[in-house]
Amino acid sequence: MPPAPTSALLVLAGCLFGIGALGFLIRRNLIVMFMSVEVMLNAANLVLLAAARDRGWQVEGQILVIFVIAVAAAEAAVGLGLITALHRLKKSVSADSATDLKG
Amino acid sequence: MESSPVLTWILAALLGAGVLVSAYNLAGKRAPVTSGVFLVLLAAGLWAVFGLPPALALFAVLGIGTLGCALGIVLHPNPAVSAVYMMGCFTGMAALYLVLGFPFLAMVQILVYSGAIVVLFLFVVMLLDLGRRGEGWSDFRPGLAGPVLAGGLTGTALVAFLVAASSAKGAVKDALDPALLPVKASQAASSVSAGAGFADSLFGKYLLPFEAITFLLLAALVGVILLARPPASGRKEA
Repeated sequence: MPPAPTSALLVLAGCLFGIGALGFLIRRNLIVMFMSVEVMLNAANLVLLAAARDRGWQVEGQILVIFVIAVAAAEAAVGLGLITALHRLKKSVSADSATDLKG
Repeated sequence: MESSPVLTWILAALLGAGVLVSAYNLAGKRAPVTSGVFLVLLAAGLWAVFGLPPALALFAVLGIGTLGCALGIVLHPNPAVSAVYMMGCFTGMAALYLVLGFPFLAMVQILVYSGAIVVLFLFVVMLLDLGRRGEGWSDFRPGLAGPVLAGGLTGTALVAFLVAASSAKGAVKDALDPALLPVKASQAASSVSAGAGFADSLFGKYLLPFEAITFLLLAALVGVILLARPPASGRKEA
């Protein structure tokens, strides 16, 4: 059943979060930036589950993970709706094309 | 995990061959197949050569596969391929949840992430026709600020985790000690009862937040319909 030590899980989650942060920072494509955000949310889920398992199978961790998944789904839907709206306006999904608020 | 020396050497040779073939072929067309073969060989090698218990070897391989898919999301120039890598990453996470003893969350992960969210991303990629053209392909930001910042974040997180893990009790050596990781019947039983307690808590103590989440999803639904609609002047049929 539970094979992996908590510290290894935390290191794995840290690496996943770092990869997501890297993708969010180095890409300009808004869709890939959103994918990176999803990876970071998954890393947070992994930390929550590792902590829940470490503290004697507390259910609060799992419940928080369910909520994070629901919020991530809502965020992905709204974000992709925004991207399609922006693409209709600018004919581009590059983050550098959305500069209309610049003074 | 004792095994005969001949088998050990055969597996070590297979592992080495897998590494070489993967390194040779990783940029080629069969990268997923090669990577999969490599991961299986790595699991066998970790088990037979380094004496890790099978469950730990499985965890290591799942973790490496998930990390590799995450790197594929970030680094592949084609957003459609990134979406497929995302499916691999999320399915790997689901397998990790399963191995950790959270079967219900593993199913939810596959349904919501690998099913709904990845399909949504692929749908938008197809709708905006991003898979073919050059736009968005080589869109990496110039300069070192982003990689340096992300590397710093990752390094800080890793150091913090390692310090926390080593100062907590008995350090990483203990954490990697297979003797500390037996499968206990009581633990398995508590996992099952945690499933029941999970449902009780979700629909009992945490019913109000649960309902709030449903309203959040409803609001997101309505908002997306408003956002993705064509502007009023050019509106024909939704």
